[in-house]
Amino acid sequence: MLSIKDLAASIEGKEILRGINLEVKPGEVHAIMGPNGSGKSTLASVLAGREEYDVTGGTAEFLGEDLLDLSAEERAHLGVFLAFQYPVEIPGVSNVNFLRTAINEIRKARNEEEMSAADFLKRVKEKAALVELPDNLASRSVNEGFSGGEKKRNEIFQMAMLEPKLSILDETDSGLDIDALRVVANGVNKLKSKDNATIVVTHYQRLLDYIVPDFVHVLYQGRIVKSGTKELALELEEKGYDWIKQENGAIV
Amino acid sequence: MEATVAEQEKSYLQQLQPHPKVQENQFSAEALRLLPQIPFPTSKDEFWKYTRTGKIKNGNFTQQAPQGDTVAFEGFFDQTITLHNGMVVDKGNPAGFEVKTLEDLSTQELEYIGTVEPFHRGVFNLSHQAYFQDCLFLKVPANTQKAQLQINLTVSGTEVVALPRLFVCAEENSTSEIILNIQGGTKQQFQHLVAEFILESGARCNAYMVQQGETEFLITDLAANVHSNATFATDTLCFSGDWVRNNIDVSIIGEGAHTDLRGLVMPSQKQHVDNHTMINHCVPNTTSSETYKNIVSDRATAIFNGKIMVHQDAQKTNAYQNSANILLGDNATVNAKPELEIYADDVKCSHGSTTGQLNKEALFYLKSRGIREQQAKNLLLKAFAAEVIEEISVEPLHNWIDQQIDRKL
Repeated sequence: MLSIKDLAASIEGKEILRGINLEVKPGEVHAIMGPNGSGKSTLASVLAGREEYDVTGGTAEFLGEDLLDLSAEERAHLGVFLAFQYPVEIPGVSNVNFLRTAINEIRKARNEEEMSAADFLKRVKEKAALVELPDNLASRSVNEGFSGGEKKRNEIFQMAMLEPKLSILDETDSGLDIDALRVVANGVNKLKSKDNATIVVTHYQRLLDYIVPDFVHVLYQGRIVKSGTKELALELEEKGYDWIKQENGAIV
Repeated sequence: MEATVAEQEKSYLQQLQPHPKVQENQFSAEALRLLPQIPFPTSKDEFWKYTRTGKIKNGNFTQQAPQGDTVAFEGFFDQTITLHNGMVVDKGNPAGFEVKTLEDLSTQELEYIGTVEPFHRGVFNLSHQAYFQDCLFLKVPANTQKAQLQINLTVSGTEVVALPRLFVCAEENSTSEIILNIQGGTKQQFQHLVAEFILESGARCNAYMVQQGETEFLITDLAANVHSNATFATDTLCFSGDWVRNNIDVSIIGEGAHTDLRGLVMPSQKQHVDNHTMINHCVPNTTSSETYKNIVSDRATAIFNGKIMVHQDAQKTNAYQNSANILLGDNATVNAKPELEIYADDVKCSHGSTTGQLNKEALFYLKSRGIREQQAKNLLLKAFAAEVIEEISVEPLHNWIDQQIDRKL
């Protein structure tokens, strides 16, 4: 589904990613872990199409298309979804209007008919329940005045509404208390299917107790330096990142 | 003084003829007398700092009779009156209003014209007072409710100056909504509208200025005297015009009175739109609220100069002013100048002004959800404009504004 080869990227001339290789197949959950500044969020941003980053090398193919050649909206049309680490407040744009526009833009790009108002509202109701999003949040301005937990739930709510093929969760656990974490993780788990894939970017192992990964990759200084199964996450939790740093000290 | 007289001789004003009946009005007679001594403004005049008037002064404008068919006017309200080249061509018979034109006015009524004086008197006010050729005189009788009227203003001909004149008296406890729809026109035309409003106690009047005309030059002067417990609200909705100058002067002269000034201004290409507002709080216990939003693209320029004056007697004034501006292009310009002048000591006044670009992070957020860039910008701009739009109670205006924003993108 997603095939990343030797991906390198920089921002304002500073090299952040220095050759990432990653294969993600339908139905899989991959966790990307690593210490602060290792390039985790950069990887998520580059895959979602954030324009501030310059891709300086390598390739990323998604469903056979050159992902890096597409605009952020075209990537969304193909089925890429980024759950933001810091969801943006957009006063004056209602959550519902925003999502309806998004769904219909995606459908238009796929030559599908617009969703009827009735079907849309039905889906809002169903998906809001999935992440226990209070009714009034759906009709309020996007993220405006939402608590940290509400913002993250809203991200997963949007993910549920848009039904992406590849979801990238960027530090979705940051700023969440344990109850909110459970709700968010439950939402993600319920949306999992054999046809879609998830990349979970996280600093802590905590989220992976709830969203169990098939693969864990450790990112350090812009490269994946270790890959394994969920046990690797537990090992990191126990030992911290220092041993990774020591093992890879020679790289730079 | 000699220099200014010489200058005057070269301006289009020399080609204008006063209407005999208008000259019976003392202010008009006085204006005609004063005019030769009044120079056209230059950039040294603070009031005209960002807007040049040379092209108007040097234009070869004359007053001309309406020509040809009028425009297919937008239908916001069912009841309409049309002014063409400053002349009332279709008086209608709108429910909720008493309508007169210049020829119907009694001597006493004629004397009202020019009594709601703008704060700044200059060559344009005076020349209008001296040379207007017709007048639409409206009365909303006491206790009339929900009177609605659309006044269409258009211009035809080349090298023409049109001086439409409007006088509105909203009598006690009446409520009315008036749309001034400026539409049609082309290059080498200059339209100058002067509208005076008197709001008697307890009256409420909403005046919407819909600017979608294509006359090369447009000046509007809107002045209101607001008596006790009355509310005057006005919305300036400007989406067209090469060169536009709007002046609004509101004098709050009765306790418990309130005024709302709102503006949504969206110049593009090389358009130049200058909004000057003045709110005078003259008596105690009055309130005002002002919100102007400029969305400026391409090489266009928007100016907002909003002044609030709280006079010495006007204790317990509560005044709020905000102007927010979005620049959509690197060559777009905004000049925003909020001014407060306060002579009373027990007042609550605030003002703020912000200028920036569309929030890039918000734009990316929307795009990352599959919304195309144009559509994302559209959503964000409508959200930015919402504070103004939401206060507008005339539903067809909402649709029209939506269309205008879509068109501009």
